[in-house]
Amino acid sequence: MRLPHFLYYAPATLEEACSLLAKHGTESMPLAGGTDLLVKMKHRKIVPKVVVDLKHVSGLHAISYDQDEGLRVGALATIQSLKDSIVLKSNCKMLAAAAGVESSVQIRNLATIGGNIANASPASDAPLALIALGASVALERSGSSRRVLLEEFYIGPGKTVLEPGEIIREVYIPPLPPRSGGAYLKHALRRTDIAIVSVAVFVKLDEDACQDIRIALGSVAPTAFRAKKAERVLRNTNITAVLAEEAAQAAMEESRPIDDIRGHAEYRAKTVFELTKRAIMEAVQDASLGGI
Amino acid sequence: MKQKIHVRVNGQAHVFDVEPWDTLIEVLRENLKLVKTKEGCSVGECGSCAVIMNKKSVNSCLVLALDADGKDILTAEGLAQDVEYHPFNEALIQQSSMRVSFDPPGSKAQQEFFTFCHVCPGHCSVKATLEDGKVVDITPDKDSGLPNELCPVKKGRFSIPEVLNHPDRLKYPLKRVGFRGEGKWERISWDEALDTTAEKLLLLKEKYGAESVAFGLGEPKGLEFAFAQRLASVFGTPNVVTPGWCCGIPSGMASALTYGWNCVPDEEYPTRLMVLWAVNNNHTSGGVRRETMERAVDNGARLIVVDPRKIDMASIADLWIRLRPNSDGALAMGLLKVIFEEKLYDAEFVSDWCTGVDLLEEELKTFSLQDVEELTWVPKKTIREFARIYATTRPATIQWGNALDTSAIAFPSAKAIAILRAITGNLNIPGGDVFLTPAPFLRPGKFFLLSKFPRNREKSVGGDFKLALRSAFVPPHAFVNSVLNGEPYRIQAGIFLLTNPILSYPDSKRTYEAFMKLEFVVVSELFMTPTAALADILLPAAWGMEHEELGYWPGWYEEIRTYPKLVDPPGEAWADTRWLNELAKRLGLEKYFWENDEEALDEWLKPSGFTYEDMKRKRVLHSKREYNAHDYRTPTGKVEIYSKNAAEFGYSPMPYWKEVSSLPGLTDEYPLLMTNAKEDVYMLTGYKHVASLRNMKPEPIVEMHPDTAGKMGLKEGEMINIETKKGKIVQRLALDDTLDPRVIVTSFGWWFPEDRSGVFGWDKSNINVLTRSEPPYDPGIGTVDLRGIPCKVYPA
Repeated sequence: MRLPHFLYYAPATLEEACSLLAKHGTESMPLAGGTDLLVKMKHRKIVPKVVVDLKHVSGLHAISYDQDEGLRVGALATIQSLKDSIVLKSNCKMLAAAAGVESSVQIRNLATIGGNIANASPASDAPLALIALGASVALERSGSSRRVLLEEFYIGPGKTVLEPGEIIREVYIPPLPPRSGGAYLKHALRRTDIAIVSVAVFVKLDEDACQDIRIALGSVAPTAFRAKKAERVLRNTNITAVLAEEAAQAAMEESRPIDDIRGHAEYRAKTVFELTKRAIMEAVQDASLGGI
Repeated sequence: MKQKIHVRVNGQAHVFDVEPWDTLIEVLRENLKLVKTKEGCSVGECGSCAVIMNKKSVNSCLVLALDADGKDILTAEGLAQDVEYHPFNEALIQQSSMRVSFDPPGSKAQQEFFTFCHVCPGHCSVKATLEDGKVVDITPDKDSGLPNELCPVKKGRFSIPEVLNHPDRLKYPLKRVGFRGEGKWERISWDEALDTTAEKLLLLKEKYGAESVAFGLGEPKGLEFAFAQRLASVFGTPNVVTPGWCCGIPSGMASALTYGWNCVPDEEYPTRLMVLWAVNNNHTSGGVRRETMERAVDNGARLIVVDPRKIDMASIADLWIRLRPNSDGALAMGLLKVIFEEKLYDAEFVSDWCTGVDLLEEELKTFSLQDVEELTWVPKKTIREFARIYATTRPATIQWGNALDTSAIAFPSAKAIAILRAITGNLNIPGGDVFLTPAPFLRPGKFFLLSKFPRNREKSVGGDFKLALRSAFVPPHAFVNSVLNGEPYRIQAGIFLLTNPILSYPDSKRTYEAFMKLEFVVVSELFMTPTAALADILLPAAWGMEHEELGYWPGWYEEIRTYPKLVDPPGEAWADTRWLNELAKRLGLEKYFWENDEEALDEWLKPSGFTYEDMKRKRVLHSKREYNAHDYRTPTGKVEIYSKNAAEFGYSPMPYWKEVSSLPGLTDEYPLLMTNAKEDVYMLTGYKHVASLRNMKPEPIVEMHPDTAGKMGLKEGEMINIETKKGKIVQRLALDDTLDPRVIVTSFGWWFPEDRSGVFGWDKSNINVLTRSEPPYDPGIGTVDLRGIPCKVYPA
């Protein structure tokens, strides 16, 4: 399958990229790694007249950590670089782990975190982990920039709050406090397949009590979302297996899985229960052992 | 606007001119004629295009060539000496990434078994990995010395573990409740299913005659096709529809009537020229194996590809002949004309070993090369080039494909090509097109009991088609016309296995009406399909690896292989051979069948002296290449350019320009020609439920030239209408400027298991809604044109 024809630009700065996208509006698409966009173009689901290649824009690849500011990941950092990053492995291993289970190494070497987020699939791994980590994205357009909490970034399947001409520049993860931990669990048929159900849990303990918890569910609703009812079951409690089950039950009830080619809704619902239960216990274990 | 890129590939610097939309794999293959690095799915799933770019492995199908500028690329060709070894690809995949299991790798004991992939006629040798009684992976078998290179999209490796464990597999016999197609079923026992069926068939036999029961069979996988044929013979019905009407028979017959044998490209000795005619052996194997093609190209053999589409083999070919769909016979006669006029044929061979040469030469004078150009859309210059290269390079092979068989003029076209092989002296020589002595197993005709129970031509609905009846089948329109028109009488019941007639018979609307009108329908299937949905009794079929099997005996290379049982079938699914055997007993025909259907496995192998159990260790019985000079099994003992025997089947004895040029004209109303291709990632109409395959090709796509789309007001990416005299469908539009502007290429075999609104959207994108069941037919077997059909397109 060949690509459809398009006009190609390779701007050297983010500013130029934004202005090109604003100029061509809905007829243009930004291109990062290409592992989602080029696939959709080959399937003729998206046929942009103009493609703005972001890969020549410098300064968007870095992964850095500051004790006070937290983590900063450039939008063009590849998923493989997230998987391999010592900075992430030492300071936010859940994100490295989630990135590490995305697809195959060939895809991860091309795919970027910015593209992964903007693609807005509820099944994406790294974005799900980021939601649980309380991450936000820095958005840039001609003349303005803003920050949006990632859990508020998605408004429907494949739909985000991105305005025309707006690009993701960076991802911020707030500094992770002591005695916080995480777990990322993905249920998929093959190691390289898309998730049938995915769960990301972030927990902060105060001694043994759960001070804060975020449970993010993927692939079981129109967007990735936080199972807030499930979180309420556990906040300010000492999390036990029984409570974890209760929370998992709430998570299952909050999710809205559908029947599709990878699984039946009923199966997905049961899997939400199992996976959430396990992820909660793993995250608590992780936190009590020094965690994230 | 083309730009220059500078890349290092396997240590060598290159400069390429590329468009922004060219991907790295396209540029590499086109310019460097890479033989091992291939484009499979083109969407980053299969890994066949993987290369190492600046020390990182990437799928080159998702890299814009522009983004490779200034980079260092290492491909499999640069990694391994032996062209057969693609260590990079295999290494990536060996990291358990394709293993299908929820359990962590290493947590369960694994076992490996040698077998063959049963998804397509290529039957690559594989190792199946089992964990806990489940097949979790299929990998190429590099130990047995058998062809094992999987298709680039690895569809067997993807689909087999998924289908074996798919939640939607049919598990229990079902009986229809409610009206036909309503989708309401009652689970019944096998006893009830078979008793009901036997009772019904015996009743119909008594009331209307055995001929009122038809069988519909698809492509053989194991012995089930043979069991069904045997049952049809002894039950007494001459009405069995098989794929023979559009696959293998016309070209096979053309060869048989010309030299007395079928022939295949030699795989033992190197060839110096390969012609791939109407075939895409890289993806849809069954003929010359990928390893053979790669070795040949790597050793400097030239490659000519004849196809209206620029298939991937065309991008590495020396010559791509882009012809008008179905004009293959005309092209072949044009080549013959050049070869004779320029005296490029093997003079000694032709004078000593060919009959009918004078008659052919006379016929070749009755048209001009200009006529050929106008009809085939191939420039005279190119026709001459093709003819000259082919006639003067020896040994040379022609691998022909299914696209030649899908037309009403298949026989004369194939005969013209058959003659080309002969007059250039390429028959049965090392490196040429060779005759095979089949492996010593039972001849299928014997198993079908055709001498004891010959198919009664007078009684058959397809009696007009003598070659079909001789080959134990009738064309599908004979069945459909019988049910709908009652002519010559009305068929009342149908038993269908291995097949999806609603999708695969021409003229789907009439096929659907026929199914709705049948008194009794029995279908055996893996999944609920549009045909299964119309059954009265629906039987759950066991698949490959779920029972002991001998296969693929109608294969090109005349081999036979054992397929061991590795796992249990789901629920109460039975191998088709088992229920056919049990049905035979209930019909009072046990004397021609067995206590246990597996006994037939030994019977099939009797001529070899092996039992099935012995054979399991041996795995394959090969055919023999003997390269005997001048062994032509024709009445004259020579190559019959003019075959008197052809008349027996209603065919002309020789190809005539008038016949091969009788193609439908383009009109104002239907100004385009619809051709089509099988999907690379699926197998015929099947496997739309398989997630990994559906991911690679989620929707049916129609391709056309941008100028044509512009003229018709069509936008790329939109669903568009494609309409012929028979009906209309929708498919999603992709533009392709390598096509002739008068041709559109639709996708074959589309239906939608997720569409519960009707019968799985069988008429939404199914190209057989566009094909006809009316004449003209091939006179011998009844083929209708499935390609090169006048059509129009407009926005949906």
